[in-house]
Amino acid sequence: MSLESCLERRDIWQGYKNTPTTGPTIASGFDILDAHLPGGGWPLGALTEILLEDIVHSPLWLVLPALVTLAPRRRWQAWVTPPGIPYTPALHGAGLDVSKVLLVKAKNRAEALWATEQSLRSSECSAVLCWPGQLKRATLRRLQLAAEHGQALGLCFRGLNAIDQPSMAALRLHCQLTVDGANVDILKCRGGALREGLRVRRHLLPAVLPGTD
Amino acid sequence: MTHAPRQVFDNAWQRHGIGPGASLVRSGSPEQAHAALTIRPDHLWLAVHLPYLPLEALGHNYTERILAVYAQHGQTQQVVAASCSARQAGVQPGMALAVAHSLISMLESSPRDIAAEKIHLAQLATQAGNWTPAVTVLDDCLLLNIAGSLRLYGGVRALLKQIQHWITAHAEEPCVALTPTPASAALCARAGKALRVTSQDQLTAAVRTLPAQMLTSNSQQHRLLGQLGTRQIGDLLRLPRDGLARRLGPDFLDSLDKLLGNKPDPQTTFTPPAAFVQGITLPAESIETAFLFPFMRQLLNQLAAYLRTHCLLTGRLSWDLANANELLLNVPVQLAQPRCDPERLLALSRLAFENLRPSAPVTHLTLHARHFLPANEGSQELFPNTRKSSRDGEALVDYLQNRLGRQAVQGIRMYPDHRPEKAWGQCVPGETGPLLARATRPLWLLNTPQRLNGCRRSPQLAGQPLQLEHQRERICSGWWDDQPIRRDYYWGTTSTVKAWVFRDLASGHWYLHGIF
Repeated sequence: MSLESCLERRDIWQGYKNTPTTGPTIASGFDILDAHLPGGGWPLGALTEILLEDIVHSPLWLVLPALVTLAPRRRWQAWVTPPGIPYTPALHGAGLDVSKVLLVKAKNRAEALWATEQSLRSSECSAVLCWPGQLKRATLRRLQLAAEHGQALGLCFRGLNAIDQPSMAALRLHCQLTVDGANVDILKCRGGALREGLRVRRHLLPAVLPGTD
Repeated sequence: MTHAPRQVFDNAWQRHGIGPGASLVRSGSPEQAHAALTIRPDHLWLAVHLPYLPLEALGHNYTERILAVYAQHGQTQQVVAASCSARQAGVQPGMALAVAHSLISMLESSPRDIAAEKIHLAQLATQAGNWTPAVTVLDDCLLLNIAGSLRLYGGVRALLKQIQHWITAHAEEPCVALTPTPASAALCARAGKALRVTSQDQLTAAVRTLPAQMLTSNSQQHRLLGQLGTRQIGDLLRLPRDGLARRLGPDFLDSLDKLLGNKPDPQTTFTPPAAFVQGITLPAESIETAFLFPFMRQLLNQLAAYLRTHCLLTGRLSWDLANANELLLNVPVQLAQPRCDPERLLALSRLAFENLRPSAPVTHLTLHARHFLPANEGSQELFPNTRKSSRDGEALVDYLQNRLGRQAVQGIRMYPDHRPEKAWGQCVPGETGPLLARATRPLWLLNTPQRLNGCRRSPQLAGQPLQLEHQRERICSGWWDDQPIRRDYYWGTTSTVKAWVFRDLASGHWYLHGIF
């Protein structure tokens, strides 16, 4: 295999080269992120890794605008073994079609990975969210390939211990939560430049009190 | 025997314009063509007689055994049916069992199981529903009124070919007879004459040579018929009717009239059971589930035929794996959506079998299907590829549920309840509950509220004091179902987290309940 043919492959990342991606994306709903992510949003048909200190505090607000936009496109959005209860009233309040949510609670990690891969591959999910914990490199590659096959938005929330591991994911973010949002570092991004310290501000929560309904 | 009926058959065909030689274009004037189209028999009965039914009802593995099935006749045990190897040794139906044993010492014998025969016939009748809804089950044969199905299946010849093909796969040396009356069809089939008569006019000629004794099972009438010297039905037809009625009784005359179609002979249509249960005995025992797949396919194809016949879909399947002594495994197959497609059902069943291993070798496989729903099939798409995956979305749910269990794959919905933990719930994927406008709620809810440290005014989260920033929301509810809550909810922030916390009014403790 010659060097040229290697460089032509899309799955070989050439970090120095600011080549525009050809893959489809979905706007994240945050201007600063959209401006710095190649293609102007989360990559579809690819895996996005979001690394954080505590996955129990996974920033759903960061991905929710994209999920809302994607929901009408396909039948399901799979949530595989989330660390808490994705709270239906809040999801509905944010505009998500909750009838598309498929909550998968696997008994063990192997089943969770299997369900994630099947959901990504099936072409029936517009987005697949997973909290897989420790992942082998080969497993991550499987998930990435499944996402490419099913053209789904694959979102993978992982702890910070994964930060030094090599990854096949198309996009890798490090997310530090702050009072009003998050500081996001783009650790890896296929076809885009790396960034540090993007201050993503969370949309203000509407302060609605009950009493009217 | 074969030559004459064939002629009858061909003649009759041309009369009805359904034969290969008679098409609309060739049949002269338009009036004739019209007549050819409209003359169609309303009654065309196909009888299938199974001479080895007593053997077949016992199971599938009799062919290599030297086996005779016997029934008690008064003091003696008479052979009713014998397997191929037993017949070669000279064992014949009607022979005393003792004689049969003396002919061949290795002969195995088994008592006749009438109940099993009935079940076997009912299973065949269910499958026969593929071709016509008018199926009647007699003691030893099936009657199918195929008059209404001729056009759908492309004529008598094509339909007969299909039915012949089906029945020869399920029975040994079946005899299929086709006549315009049910009684004559059954009689021909029982007599082993594979007649094909489609016209009423030809019927009398065709049944003339059949044995008269077969019209009745009454032994006194048998003797009388012998005394009259009437061996064939033709002999009976030559006799005066009133004399016959006097000697043999009016019932006998009735059955003769029904045979020839001079009297109506209504038949009871077979109604298939409301559940589909079909078993198979494996040719060899096996502990590997992969070995079962071809047999599963066979059973699922039968299920699909059953469902298609009755325009049904099944919502629930289960497989029983058993050996001779006990049930080893019961494997339910979950279907998110009622289905009838055997390939899909097989794929789902295989998935359900994936991680299973029976504790002992399996010899019997049984398929149960219940929970039927009427199939409401819309039109097929002209271009199947353009169909959107909105309905097929159930495939993924099926797939996941069969591997992980039904409870592990759920949808979420809202409930009209003020208690936060009861305002949501799990449901069948895709179900929509009421959509209620609510106060702003956290995106994550904790499975159980987490007790927080700290004093009465300032709770702490992970060692950091929580800044309570929002107006409180008091939720007091649930007195009616013994899970009452009395809580004051607040929004609290630390440097990294915006949390939803509450103070339990009863105890005064602080709890973390959600993360925004």
